Amino acid sequence: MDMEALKQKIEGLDIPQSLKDELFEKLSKEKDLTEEMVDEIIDEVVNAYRKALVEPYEAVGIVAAQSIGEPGTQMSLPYEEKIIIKEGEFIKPVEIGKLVDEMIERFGFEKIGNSEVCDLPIDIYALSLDQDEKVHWKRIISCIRHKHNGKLIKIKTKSGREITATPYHSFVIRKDNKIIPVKGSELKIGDRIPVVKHIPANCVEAINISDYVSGNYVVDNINNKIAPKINGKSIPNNIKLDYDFGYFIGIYLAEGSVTKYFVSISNVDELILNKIRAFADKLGLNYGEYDNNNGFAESHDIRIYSSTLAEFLSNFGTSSNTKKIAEFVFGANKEFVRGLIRGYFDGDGNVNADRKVIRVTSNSKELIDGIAILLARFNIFSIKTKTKNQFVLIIPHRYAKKFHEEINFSVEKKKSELERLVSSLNDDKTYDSIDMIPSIGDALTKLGEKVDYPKVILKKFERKQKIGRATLQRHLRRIEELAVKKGVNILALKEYWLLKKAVESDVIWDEIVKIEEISCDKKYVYDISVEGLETFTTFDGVLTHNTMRTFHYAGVAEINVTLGLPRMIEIVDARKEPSTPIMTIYLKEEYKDNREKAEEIAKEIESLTLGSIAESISIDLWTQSIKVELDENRLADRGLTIDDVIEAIKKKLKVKIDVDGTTLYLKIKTPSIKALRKRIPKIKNIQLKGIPGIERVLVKKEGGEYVLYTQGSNLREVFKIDGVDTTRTITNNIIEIQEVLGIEAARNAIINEMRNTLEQQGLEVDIRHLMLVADIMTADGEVKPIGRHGVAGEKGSVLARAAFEETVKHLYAAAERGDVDKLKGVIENVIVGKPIYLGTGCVELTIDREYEEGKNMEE
Amino acid sequence: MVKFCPKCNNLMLPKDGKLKCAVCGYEEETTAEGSKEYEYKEHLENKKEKITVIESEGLETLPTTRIECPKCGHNEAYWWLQQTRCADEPETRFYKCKKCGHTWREYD
Repeated sequence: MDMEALKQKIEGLDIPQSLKDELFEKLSKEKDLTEEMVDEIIDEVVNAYRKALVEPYEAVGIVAAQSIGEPGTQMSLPYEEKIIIKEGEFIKPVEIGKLVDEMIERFGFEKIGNSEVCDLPIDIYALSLDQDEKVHWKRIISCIRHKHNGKLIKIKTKSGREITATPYHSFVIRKDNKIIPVKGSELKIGDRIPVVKHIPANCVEAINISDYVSGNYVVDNINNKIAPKINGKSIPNNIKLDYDFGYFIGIYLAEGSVTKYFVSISNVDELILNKIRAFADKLGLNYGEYDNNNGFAESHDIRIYSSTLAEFLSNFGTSSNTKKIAEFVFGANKEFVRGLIRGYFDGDGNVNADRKVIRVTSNSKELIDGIAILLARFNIFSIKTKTKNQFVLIIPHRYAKKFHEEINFSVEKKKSELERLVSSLNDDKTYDSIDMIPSIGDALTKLGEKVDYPKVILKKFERKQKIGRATLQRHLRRIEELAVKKGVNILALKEYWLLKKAVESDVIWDEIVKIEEISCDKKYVYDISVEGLETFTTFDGVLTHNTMRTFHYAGVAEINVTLGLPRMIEIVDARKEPSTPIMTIYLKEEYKDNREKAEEIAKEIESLTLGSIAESISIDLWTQSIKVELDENRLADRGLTIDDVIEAIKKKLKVKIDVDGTTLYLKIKTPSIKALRKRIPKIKNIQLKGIPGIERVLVKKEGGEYVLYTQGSNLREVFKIDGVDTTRTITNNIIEIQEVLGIEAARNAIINEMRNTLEQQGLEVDIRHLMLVADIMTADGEVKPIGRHGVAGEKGSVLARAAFEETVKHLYAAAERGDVDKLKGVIENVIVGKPIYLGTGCVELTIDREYEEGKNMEE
Repeated sequence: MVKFCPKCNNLMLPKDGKLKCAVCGYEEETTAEGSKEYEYKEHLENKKEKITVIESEGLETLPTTRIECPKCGHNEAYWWLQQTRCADEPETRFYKCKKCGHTWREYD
């Protein structure tokens, strides 16, 4: 197909530019596509894109708290947490705070809720985990920062990795063979979070020394030389990152130190010393040699005299406490890194075949962290621990073979020990308690059963729900063999691919061993938003997840309810209609689990007026009529046609209707502006569909079933709808309940409503008080308010009524009728000044005092 | 633009295909028939869109803290503050148990 036509076709589509470009790129590569095929592909792509679009009302993914702007529910990392990014060819760890602050300063920000968000116009990539459990570089879409509330959680894993984040920062875990996000505050000890094992790298082949030194230097680009301005020796400026250079830096990291004028390396191994001499010769530098035994051991120093080299090496730290890996190394080519690691392990590392470990110790945590990341380039996973004041990196023996293949030692003694270690290992029996794959579900069992694999083994792992990577690999291999033998096609089973994916994943599911809460005094916390699964990697290799962009509610999912004291007053006043009538509609068994059916019912219930579905309603002075514009699509969505609308209008109003396409002109007999305007509200309120009084319906999934919440109440009509569970559906309109369900239901409704209102306020009132109120209110067979029109106005005593409200009215009426007050109540007796009929006051016996006093004793 | 009477500056309204001054009766021929100028648009609020469906369960946006629920003994609860008494008194702390939903108050 012709390129130009294709380009034009794609340009005309209603999809984002990036997708257009990608589509064009892919399609232009396919040579033998017919026009129909191209059209079909384009249609599919556009449809898929549309499907993925989010409606403004739709809830998507994990709903994050920012949308509501609630303080304390933010999810981010503190300033100091380093993340791994790739900019151009360079891979480097950078403090997230520094990155975000810098980007915001450069490109400005937009305020979204409490957050300051900066969409990046430049390409920076973060290391991200995908659903296929492979690690890829993904573009950072935006940088985010916001103020925080002081609390952070610090998580430590079994392999010694650490991460600090706000409790709401989400992490990813593995569940049911899928990667899902989870809130930091919901993580617990024993959960497993992913840690990268493998880092894909672009390769930097050479660097310029001049980029890494800042002093006074003269760069000679023609001869490729760099030298100090004042009498100094020159060294090559553009230097190739090869194995030898790497090895030299590795040795420096282990054994070196720098002063302003020279680099000093102390070691006793002749092989290492020779390599250093060779390197110095290669650069054309002078060196001096000294024996020194000022410490506890004898050693040999080589000093290479070059202030340029010395300053360059200070990028790697100057003393054992500050040693670190310079940033460019993370993006450097494999040979260089291989040299560096070997050099470093030749210097500081040791291997013990009996204890089956390869380890290296340093005073610098940063150096150990860096080495761990570099080892990840070779798929070697390492464990970090700490002794009293030193940091230790341990390579588990499971990776010894890999270490032997990829890196090895130069020093004879270490080399032979490593060989002894490797040969002593039995591939099948290595147990690695860190590299376990959690949550494999029943995938292994299902797969195994197909080929009659021993049930005992399968059941064991299904029960444990975790399995070592090597073990899984072994079992999988055996299942494959069995499958071939029995002729079972396991390649068609999805379980097989799930497990295969788990085995080959780029991450290690590291167990959490410690979670602690810490506080933080920095003003902001930070986050980045990454393409795809939105995961990114910290410097320590822990993968975390960001949810900034995956919420959309647009504030519509709220139903306004009166609460607290106003609601209490409403209840005891027995109002005809509460100020915010709402209904909770439950659905019958057949409907409650089905989203479509629930939506169907919701549509049937929600009342639809002409005013709420018309595109516009206006008074047209030219035609002296009311013009109603309709949208057919919206009508169809609610199952209406224009004819339905016309009929509904005719039923309510005496008008002549002219139809012009989707526009209706309503004409009245004697038109005038006043007459037309008078009819507008009526027209707006013409009911087209649904139940009158129910303004809005919200479908919510609750406890596994779909429940409808409505604004507005009409119990009688709702009960008539097919599918509504009339035994559970309720309204907060008590009078309506009395009318539809009877007085006993109303009594219960009063009790429930009052109890719920009080409970929401955190107040504890004994239910018997509420029952008493409800009983009094409903005792006459209809709900009566507490107050002068109800309970209080119907008291038997005239004085009691007069004492409450409308005194004169009650006294007049009583006088007119000649009412008698028996003075039995409290108020009446207070008014007339007698003891009340309570306690000692209610005794009606009198004492024969004379008898008591013994006067009549003789008789 | 709506036209005004050139004679008395009052509003001209359309009548029988002409513009007529509402006060002095001056008439003017016009070609602007059916133009938007002579339409009074009604303001329509709360247009109904699709039915909102909330799928995610247990959506809580409140912050949580560690505190024992007096009813069920669960160890985590949502909290919020409200100034329930006069301004020189401390706020009332409300807690809502994450597990059983029991709400209670705490004063200072």
